[in-house]
Amino acid sequence: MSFGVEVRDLTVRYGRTTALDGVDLTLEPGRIHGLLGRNGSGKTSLLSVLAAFRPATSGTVLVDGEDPFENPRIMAGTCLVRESGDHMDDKARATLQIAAAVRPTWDAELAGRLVDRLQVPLDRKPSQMSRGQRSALGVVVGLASRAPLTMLDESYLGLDAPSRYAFYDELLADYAEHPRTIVVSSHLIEEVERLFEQVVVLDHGRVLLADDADALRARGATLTGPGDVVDAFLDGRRVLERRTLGRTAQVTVDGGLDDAERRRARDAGLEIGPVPLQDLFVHLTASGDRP
Amino acid sequence: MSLATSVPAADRSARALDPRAVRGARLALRSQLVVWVAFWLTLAVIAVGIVVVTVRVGEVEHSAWDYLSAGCRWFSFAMLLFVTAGGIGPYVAHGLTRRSFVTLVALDVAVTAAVFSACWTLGHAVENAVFAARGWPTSVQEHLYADGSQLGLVTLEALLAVLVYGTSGALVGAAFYRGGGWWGTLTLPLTLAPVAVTESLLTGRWIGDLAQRGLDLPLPARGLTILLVVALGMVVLHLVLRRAAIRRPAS
Repeated sequence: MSFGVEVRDLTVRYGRTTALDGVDLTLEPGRIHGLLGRNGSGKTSLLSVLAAFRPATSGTVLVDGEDPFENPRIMAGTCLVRESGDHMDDKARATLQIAAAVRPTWDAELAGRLVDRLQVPLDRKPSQMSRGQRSALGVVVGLASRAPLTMLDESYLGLDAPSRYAFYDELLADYAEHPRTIVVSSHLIEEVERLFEQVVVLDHGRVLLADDADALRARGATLTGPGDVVDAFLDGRRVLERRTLGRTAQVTVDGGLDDAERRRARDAGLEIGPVPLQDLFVHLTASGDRP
Repeated sequence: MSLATSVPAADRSARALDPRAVRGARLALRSQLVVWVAFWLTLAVIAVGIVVVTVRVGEVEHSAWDYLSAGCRWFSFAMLLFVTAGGIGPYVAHGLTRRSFVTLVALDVAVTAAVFSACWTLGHAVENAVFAARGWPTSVQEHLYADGSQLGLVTLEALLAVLVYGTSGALVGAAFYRGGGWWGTLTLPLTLAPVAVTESLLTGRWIGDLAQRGLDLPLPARGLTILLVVALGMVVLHLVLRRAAIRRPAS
C-alpha cells in the first residue's frame, strides 16, 4: 500500500515569515522521491504539513485522497523522521516497543536487523547517545514502521559513511520487497541521487522543479576530455559546472545532446555522462533560475 | 517474522481511544510506574525521618505524613507537565492524533489520582496504626478532615486534589509547548487557576476558604465544582493542543 500526495496552493507562514508560498505538487504513490532545497527553502515545513505535524496556513493537502491533519487513518500510515527523530527521552528499547505497539505496519524483524547493522544502543536514552546513534534510532523507526508514506528529513546525516551506505542498501532492498511512497530530503545529493525516481526542488518556499530523476539527468550532459577539445565543443552552451585536473576538463552543460552531437563528441574523444543532480541543483538554486 | 505492508485500519471516525493509542499509553504508563514507586518510597523514608527527628527533639503533636501533602500534589503536577510537554511530539510522530493524546492525558490524570490517593490513604492508615500504638495524635490542619483517621475524607481530598493538580500540570505543559516560554509564563495565572480554586474549596489555602466563609457550599457541591473544573481544564487542554505544531527536536 502506498499513499499518493496532492498539494495545491499550499502556504505556510510563521508569523511574518513565509516558509511555503503557493506550492503545487503531486507525489505519485509507490516511488522514491528526492526532496532537495537549500537551507530555509521549506523542505521541513512541507514534510511537516504532509505528516500532520503542523496545520497549513492555507491551501489544500491530500494524502491518499484525504486531509491528513488529525486524520487517524492517514496519520497511522504516515511516518516522518526529522533529523534525529522525535523520541521520548526513554531507552531506545522502549521507543521501539512503543513504535511496535502503535504502528500498524511495523516489522519487528527489520527493526532488529537495522538495530544490529546500525549499532543502535538499546539501553541508552537519546540524551545519552551521540548524534549518529540518535540518527540511527530515527532511521530504524522510519524504515521499520514501513508506513505507506515514509518521509526521512535529513534523518541519516548524523550517520558515519559505512552506516549511511548500509541505510541506503536497506532502504532499497526493503522498498523493492515492500513498495511504498518514500520521500528523502537531503543535502548529500551525490550520495543519495541514485535512490531517487522523482525529484522535487524547493527554492524560497516554491517548487522550482519536479520531474523524473532520469528526465532531469537528461536535461544536461557531462563532457570529459582534454580542456581545449571540451572548450571547442561547448560552442556557446551554458556551463553549469567546470572542473579541471591538469589538461583534463570535466564540464557540465545545460540542455541535452542529440544523437548527432553525441556522435561528434565521441569522435572528438570526449566522454559523455549524465548531468549530476547536484550540479543541476547548485546551478538552479544558486542563480534562482527557473526551468 | 516479516510483516507485509498493509493498510492501516480505515477508521476516519472520531474514535478518541484508538486501540493503538491505548497500547502505546500502557507502555508509557509502565515507564511512569518506576518513577511512581521511587517517589512513594522516598516519601515514606522522609516521613519516617520526620518522626525520628521529632521524637528526638520534642514530642509528636500531629500527623507526620501530613507534612508531605504538598509533595504528593506537586509531584503529580510535575509528572503531568512533563508527560504533556514531552509526550505530544513523540506521540504525533508515532502517527497518533492530538485528540487521542489529550484523551490519554485525561486517563493518565485519572489513573494518577486513583493511585496517588490510594497511596496517600495507605500512608495515613499506616501512620494511624503506628501512632495509635504509641499514643501519638494524628491530627491535621487545613484539610477536609481534622484527623488522619478519617480515611474516607482523606481519600476524597487526595483524589480531587491530584485530579486538579494533574490537570493544571498538563495545562502548564501544553501552554509552554504551544506558546513557548513567554506565553507559558504569562498564562500561568490561568493554567494554575484550577489549583487555586480547588485549594480554596478543599483546604482554605491559596486565596482563602471561599467555600466555607464565602460561598458556604456543602461538600458534595464543592466536589462537583472541582470535577467541573477538571472537565473544563481538559476541554481547554484540547483547545490548546488541537492545532499545535509539533516542535522540531533538538539535534
